[in-house]
Amino acid sequence: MGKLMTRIGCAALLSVSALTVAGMALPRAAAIEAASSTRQANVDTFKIDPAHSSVIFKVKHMGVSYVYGRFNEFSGEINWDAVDPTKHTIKAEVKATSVDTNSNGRDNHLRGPDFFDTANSPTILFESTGVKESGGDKFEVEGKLTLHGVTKPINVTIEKVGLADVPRMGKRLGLACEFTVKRSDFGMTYGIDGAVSDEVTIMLAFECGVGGR
Amino acid sequence: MEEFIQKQLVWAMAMPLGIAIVCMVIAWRPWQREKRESVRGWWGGALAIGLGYLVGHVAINKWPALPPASGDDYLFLFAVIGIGVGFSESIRMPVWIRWGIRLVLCAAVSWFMLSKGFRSGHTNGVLLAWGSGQTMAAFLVWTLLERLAERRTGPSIPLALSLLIAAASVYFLKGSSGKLAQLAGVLSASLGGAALVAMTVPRVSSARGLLAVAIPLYCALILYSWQYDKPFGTPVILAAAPLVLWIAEWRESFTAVVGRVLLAVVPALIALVLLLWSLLDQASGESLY
Repeated sequence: MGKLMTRIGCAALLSVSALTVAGMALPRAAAIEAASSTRQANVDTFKIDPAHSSVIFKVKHMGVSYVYGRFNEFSGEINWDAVDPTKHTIKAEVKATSVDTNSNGRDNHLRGPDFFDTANSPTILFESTGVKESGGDKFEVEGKLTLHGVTKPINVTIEKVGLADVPRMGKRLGLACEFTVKRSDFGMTYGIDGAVSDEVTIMLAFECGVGGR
Repeated sequence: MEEFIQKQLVWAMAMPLGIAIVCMVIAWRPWQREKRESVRGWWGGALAIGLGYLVGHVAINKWPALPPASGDDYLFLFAVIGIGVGFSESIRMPVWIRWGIRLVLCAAVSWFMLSKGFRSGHTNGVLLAWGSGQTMAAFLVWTLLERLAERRTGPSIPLALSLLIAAASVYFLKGSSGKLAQLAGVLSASLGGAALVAMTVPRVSSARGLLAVAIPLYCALILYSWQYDKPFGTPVILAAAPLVLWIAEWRESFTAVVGRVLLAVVPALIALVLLLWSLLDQASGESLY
């Protein structure tokens, strides 16, 4: 009888200990899950609205003037973390075939082997790899730019122009940035001796909506 | 701008021409008059055209990426491979091995110069048909021209090819690619250098070397521009143009030689006229930039 009671006592003690440990862990797991849900709840996925966005570039022509052009077809997605800005992610895709400089002959030339070579590299891609806050509404974004089939790392400064609930449009995010790249870094060397500058300034203005609106 | 023009004249024309002349002279040794008939410098043609083209290519385009990332990079690679194939053709080997090497190079040119967009947008069956057709067309032009070169030494073949590719350069320029026009100009200048040496050394042959670089590069340039140029049939005209050299083959006279050389340019001019005709309908700006 004594041995039986001892065994029952040990089993009860072990059970109570297990229950205690489980009880301590449960709130922590719940807290972790709650935190994850909270973080997901803080992240909005915005899609670029092409009708209210612009992708524009300029180059120096013959060393005397700037010639501007734009791309008419592009898309992208931005995951915007309201709590932790370093977790923002940006992905944008531009169709190189949609280049438009208000001149059919020049646009055909730009699509050809001398410049974008769109038959082989129809898409220009940007994917962010890291974000740092740099004060105010500005962010330093590290990313990879794929242009003319060549991928290079670049750093750009992006400004949050605005974030608000717009009547009948929902939540809207506005971003803008301007940066300069050397097209020769991406294998586009035609005309850099003087006709068309090596440096290309790219100006982006995106308005994005949640759910693709 | 002056620097640009100087660069074009020196590196894209004078240097390839000069390099081709030097290579041909070293290979064919025109000063060895007493041993003239025994000197065979077939390998000189491959080195002349290949090295001349590579120097001009790097001057215009800078060094290619490795692995190749664009059509330009493949042009450089095909020039290097062409030199190797040209050297191999200058040594004795069974015909079937020689033809096999040519087929492999033509197939590589056909495959890699087809744009990624074309390759990804068609089924395997269509790609096989396109690739096979292009491969056989390039192989046919090369082999028939090689046969002609074995029968006929002297400057007519390199000179005709030089003029033809120079005319094709204008075609590429009007088809919205100054870069391909420049590269065709480099190839034309190299062939011109070989032709100049052949004018003073009549036993110089274009066979077993020179054509191994010139024809694959020429076909590669046409295929690269094909995705952008109109109308559709003009690349076919350009590719078949070298076979015009077979015309008047039965005549042995100076007039026949001149006529043969000039006749090779006619298909390129036809292609250019067709291209310009198609461009007349487009409202386009004057400047290429």
